[in-house]
Amino acid sequence: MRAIQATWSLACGLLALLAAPPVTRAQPPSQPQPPSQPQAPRSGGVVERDVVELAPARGARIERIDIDNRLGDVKIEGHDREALSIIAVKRAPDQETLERLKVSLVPDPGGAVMVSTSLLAGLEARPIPAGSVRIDLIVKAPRSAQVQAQVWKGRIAVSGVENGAELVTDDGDIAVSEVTGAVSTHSGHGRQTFARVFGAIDARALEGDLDLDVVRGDRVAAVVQEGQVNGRRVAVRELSVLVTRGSISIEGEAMAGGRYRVASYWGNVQVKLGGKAPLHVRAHSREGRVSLPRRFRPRTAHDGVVTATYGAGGTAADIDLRTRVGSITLAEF
Amino acid sequence: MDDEPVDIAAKKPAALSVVRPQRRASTAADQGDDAVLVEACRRGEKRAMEALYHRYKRRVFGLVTRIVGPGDAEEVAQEVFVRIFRGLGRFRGDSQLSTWIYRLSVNAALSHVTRRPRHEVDDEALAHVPAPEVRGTDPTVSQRLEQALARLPAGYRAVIVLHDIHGMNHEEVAEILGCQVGTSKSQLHKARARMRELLGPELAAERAAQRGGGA
Amino acid sequence: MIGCRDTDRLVTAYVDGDLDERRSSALRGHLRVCTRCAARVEDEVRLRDAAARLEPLDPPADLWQAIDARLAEEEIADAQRGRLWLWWQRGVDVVRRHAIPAGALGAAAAAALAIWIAPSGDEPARRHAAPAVAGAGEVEPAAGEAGSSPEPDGACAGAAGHDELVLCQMHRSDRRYLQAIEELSAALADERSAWSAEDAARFDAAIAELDRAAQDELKRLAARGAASPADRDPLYAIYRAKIDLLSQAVVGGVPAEGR
Repeated sequence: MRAIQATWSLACGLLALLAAPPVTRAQPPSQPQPPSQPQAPRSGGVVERDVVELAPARGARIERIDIDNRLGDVKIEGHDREALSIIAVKRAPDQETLERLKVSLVPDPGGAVMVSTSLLAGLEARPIPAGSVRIDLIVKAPRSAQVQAQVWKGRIAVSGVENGAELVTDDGDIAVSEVTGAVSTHSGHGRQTFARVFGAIDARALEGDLDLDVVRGDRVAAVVQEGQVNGRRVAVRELSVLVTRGSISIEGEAMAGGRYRVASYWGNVQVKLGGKAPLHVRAHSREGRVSLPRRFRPRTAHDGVVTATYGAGGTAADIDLRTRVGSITLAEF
Repeated sequence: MDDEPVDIAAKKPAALSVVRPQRRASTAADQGDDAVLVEACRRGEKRAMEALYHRYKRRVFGLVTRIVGPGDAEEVAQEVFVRIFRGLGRFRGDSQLSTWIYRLSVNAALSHVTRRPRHEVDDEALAHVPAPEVRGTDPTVSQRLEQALARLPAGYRAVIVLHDIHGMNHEEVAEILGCQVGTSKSQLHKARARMRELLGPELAAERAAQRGGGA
Repeated sequence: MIGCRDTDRLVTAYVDGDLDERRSSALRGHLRVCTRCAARVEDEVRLRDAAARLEPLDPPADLWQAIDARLAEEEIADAQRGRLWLWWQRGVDVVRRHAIPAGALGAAAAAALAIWIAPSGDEPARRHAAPAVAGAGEVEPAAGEAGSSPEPDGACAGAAGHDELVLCQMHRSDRRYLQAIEELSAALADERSAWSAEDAARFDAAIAELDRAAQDELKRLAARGAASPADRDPLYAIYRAKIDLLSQAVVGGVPAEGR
């Protein structure tokens, strides 16, 4: 344990503030290399690309990566090495402002690494033109590390990690692919896509569409204030999709004993759930039509609520579909 | 169903092209104009708002009329434009303005239809459908088209109006209606099939007329 | 082999040019020898062309006046709306019109963003899309796809400096949360009528707790005078919890289960 701590604190000291020198390997005191030449991008201003690598001591692992970058995008890819590698691309209108853009890496003894970015207040406090500074991070992390990323106005893309992810953006897209584990997301404005996710998804969006393609495991829970939700090849035990304004279309499988609730306040609900389990359906549309496949019998309808069952033998899957204004369609499968 | 022997050589499928009549696609210039207008509207400039209204009034009114019928069209069109102007603050320019406006129009129209008590459009209302100008070589189908359209279920009507009358492609229709592209295609197929049933006599008459007069 | 049944199935795609060349050619072959299908295709083309030739419809000449009058009515209604809402809108103007220098952000910014703001001056209420409230299906449709862009977007384009931009973005973010909460709360009234007294009490207690937490957080923000996105994380977490609760109740029809 002490050995690990020693390595961590050395690394801390060396990597605490990444300003100009791009260090390529986190080793005990070495000559800091000269800053990479800032290149002038076509539109004016300067760009600098720094690369950092952080290798845990022998026997230790990076358990968790916590990224807080309010100045740009974050992209995280899982890889098969134990090391953490970060590419930071900084953009600023001039060299002096560029030097105020900082990326900080703070490992803690528990095996977590915190990565954060900041814009230091300059001594002369020269005002910075809006939209002229940014830091984008590309992170390659061990697959087994848990990932947490928070951005402000920026995109988050995560792929290839196996222990889940927690992603928050106020304004920007979230793209999750080839991820295993519990994934939770929030976006204030932006599109969220999930492709080949195994585990559980808890997605929240204020304004934006959600797209799911091949999702398996325990749970998909989505709450969207305004946007469309589309899901294909969704096979989970528990599904809850709530959209205040927007239509929902889900295609997938219903499992025995599973619970599937798909509701829109203002929008159409279209669901196609296959599988071997018998189905018990409850559908309620206050101001629209409900369509169920013909082979669903018997069905009762009162107060606008239609209930029907299909199949027998084994525990039924429970399907609850509702909308206030819109139509409900449970499609043939 | 026809049992006449077919003379392949003699039967030229007169002027029936499989090419869709092209509507004028929206150009970059159009979209630029829209952007300028939208900005001015957001600032509350009355003249810009009126200009925007005039630019889109036919599209909105046409779409709305054909979905809700001529009786309620004015009320719904008014509602649509009010939503447009009050919603411009939130329009982000991710989709084209026209797509956004169409979406508002379709949603308002469909919502209006589902809200009113479901009954068949009565003959009195049908009689007031404006008779379209007679053009081309098939007067009877065109004249009856609006009436047949009025008898389709609202969902089918929306797809035909967007795709066939307003010339959208399936991607645009899907975006406007919030469905998959495949759904738009199959809905159009069913809608046209239903129209074909409703306009059976007129279509047969025209086929006969063509055969009689054509080469 | 293409037969009559295939023709029925493919006619729409064929006529619209969506069918691949191989099948189109096979279909054309079938049409040469089958009058029924040839007639079917003819009909489809006639229908399509007739629809495309329909004349555009002109609205009545006085429609614009009616719209203008409606908009005026709505503006008056906005003016009479709850004071909280109006003060919030004025907050937008205060923040936007007074370029706040980078150093002096602090308390001024936090105060501007806090929900209790005394209206300063007499700015006219901005023409603003009122949160559409569902009563008779009046909810506005989903605005559709939203993506991020690297440049400052329209709503905050007026910001000149980096700090002002971030402030504007934070304000917009606050507004998004509050608008969602307001819309859901308004729709709630309708849903509640079907709840049991027990469910209603449990729900109200949960909401009250979140409201208290939000108020505390806002006071803390105002006192600290800090104005950076990270500072608002706790507040936003509370808003999200409230939206979750409201959505479950309003959209899902499930009053709060013990959380």
